[in-house]
Amino acid sequence: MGLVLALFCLVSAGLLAWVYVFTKGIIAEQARIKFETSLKEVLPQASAFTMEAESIYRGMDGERLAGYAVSVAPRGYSGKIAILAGVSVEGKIIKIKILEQTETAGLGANVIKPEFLRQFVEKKISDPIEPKKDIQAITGATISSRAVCRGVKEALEKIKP
Amino acid sequence: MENLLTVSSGPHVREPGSSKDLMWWVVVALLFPTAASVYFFGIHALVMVVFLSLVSVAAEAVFQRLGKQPVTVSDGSAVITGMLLALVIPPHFPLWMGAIGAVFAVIIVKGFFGGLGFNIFNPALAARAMLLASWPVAMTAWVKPFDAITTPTPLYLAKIGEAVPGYWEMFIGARGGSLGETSALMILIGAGILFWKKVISWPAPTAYIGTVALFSFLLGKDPLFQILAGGLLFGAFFMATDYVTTPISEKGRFIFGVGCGILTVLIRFFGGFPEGVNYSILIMNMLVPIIDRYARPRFFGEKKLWQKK
Amino acid sequence: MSLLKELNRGIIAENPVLRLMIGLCPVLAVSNNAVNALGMSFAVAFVLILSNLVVSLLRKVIPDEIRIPIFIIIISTFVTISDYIMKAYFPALSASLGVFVPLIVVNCIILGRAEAFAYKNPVLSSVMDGIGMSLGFALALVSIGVIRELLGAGSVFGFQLFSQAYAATIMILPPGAFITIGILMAALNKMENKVL
Repeated sequence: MGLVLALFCLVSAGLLAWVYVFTKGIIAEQARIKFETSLKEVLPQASAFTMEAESIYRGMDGERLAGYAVSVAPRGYSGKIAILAGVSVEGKIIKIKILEQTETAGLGANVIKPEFLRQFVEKKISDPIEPKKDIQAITGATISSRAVCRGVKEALEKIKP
Repeated sequence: MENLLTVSSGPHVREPGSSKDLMWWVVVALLFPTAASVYFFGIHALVMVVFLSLVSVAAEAVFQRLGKQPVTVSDGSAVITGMLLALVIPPHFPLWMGAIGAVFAVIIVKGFFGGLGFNIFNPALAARAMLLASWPVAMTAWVKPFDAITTPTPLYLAKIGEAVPGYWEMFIGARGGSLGETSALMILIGAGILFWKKVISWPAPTAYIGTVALFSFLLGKDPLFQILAGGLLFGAFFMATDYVTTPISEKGRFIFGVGCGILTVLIRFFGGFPEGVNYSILIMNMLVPIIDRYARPRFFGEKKLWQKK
Repeated sequence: MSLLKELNRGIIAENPVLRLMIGLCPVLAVSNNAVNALGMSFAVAFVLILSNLVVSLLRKVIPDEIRIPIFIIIISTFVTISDYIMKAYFPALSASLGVFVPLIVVNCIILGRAEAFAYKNPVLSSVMDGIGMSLGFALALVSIGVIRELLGAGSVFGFQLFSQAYAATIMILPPGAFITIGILMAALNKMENKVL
């Protein structure tokens, strides 16, 4: 009886190993493509990226430094909000993109809306970047809005020379 | 003739007058906060109250006709649901959203659970919670009395540490808030009528308000402000006294009130929302069967369960 | 004829979600839009049909005393395969279904059909039963998904039909799932003219 169970486990393990090896490359490739698309999106001028430090990517346009892409994950209302921020060489936000979030649908989840994210363009470290000051928060979602603001500030601080 | 005798399951509580009379006295009492809301927030308040009452009655009639049940709109409960809902939403709220709330209250919260007497949740409050989850922006669009400038409610102002209206303004109702909740004065007059006519009893509202005041004091907050600032008075007198969704016995109603008070304090001081009356009463509605079980009225001569021979 | 009966049963009469009320966890969780609901339906169909097939094929060699562990090995193998395949070829769908794809392992429909049907019936009937149950599950899940997405976001399968400002957000939040599923159950019971 134990032998039968062992046999089942063996066949199952073999099958899974095969599927794993077969799909591993594709899954990694998918993740890489997705991430590179995001990098390109926040730093359109760059054509190639190299990892500078943890969560900081240096975007190159040929030989010239085009800017940095910084990933941050501040705590939102119901979990981390993963943000990728494109920052120019002068230290200004080019574009930000929410990679992942689990905020409340219809409220905090509205932080992914372009109208909200557009406000961060051109912000620099000396700006307040706070709701009620220079950022219009999502109505009814102060905590989520504040989290994104904090994330953007953190991203700018990370590449401060 | 067959309507002369009604067979129903116990417990049978004897009250003077029929439930129909009681219901219409509630309508009369609600006219006072309605009048205040029209005075402070304009004619739209009256339009909303009348409109939602009509929608509720129509929804109940259509639902009962379709379900081949006797149509019972004349008992006044649908009118009350419509009025209560209109009075717990912000001024200048879109009529169509209010109508969806009224239909939800009458059909889903009351009708689907078996009609009047079988609903677990207070229909108007359940509908308010539904509206808040669905259109949070419209449901928090408070305005200043007499003009349409937006302003947060006093509880929200207190939560973010800004200046709040004075006691007198809050007492007469000159502050931001839901239509019927702002004027403590008018709520107290309405409640006075209900006490005088013995439509509502003391335990639930006094326990509710007393608990909030006590815990506010113990936690170092201003008890009077906590009583006047939110929907506490309206909820305590008009929602926590609903026959169907609160306990049967006076003792049970007292426990119900204390539970509502503790939950309200927890939500106001430690929760994400500035106000907690709505959810407190809904949560306690769920616990009513348990409260009834442990605080049921004793029959004459009955031995206590724990009494040994 | 009898094969068709095995197929039919799962769709309405013994609809796993709306009549047997099993497998409700993924139904409540991923029915917030039609695309998620459809993706989940495919994943469950893949696992359910194949596990019914394998359990039925091997029903003579599976010892009675340890049948449950063996069912679970079979089911979890297929679940893991479908998880890898979704990650590799449908990354966006896989991301939005999240943990609920691996959780198909504990979906009672699958273990339930293995135990109640596939272990006792020939291969062809078991496959038909798997297909029928999958169709019933998909029917329920996609109906709920379409209703919730339409009322809660104003769209169907991602096509915006009316402005989001008119949509009741509660329908794509958890309460919307309970309300929709309750009303659908009541409607189906009324149709079949009997009350549970």
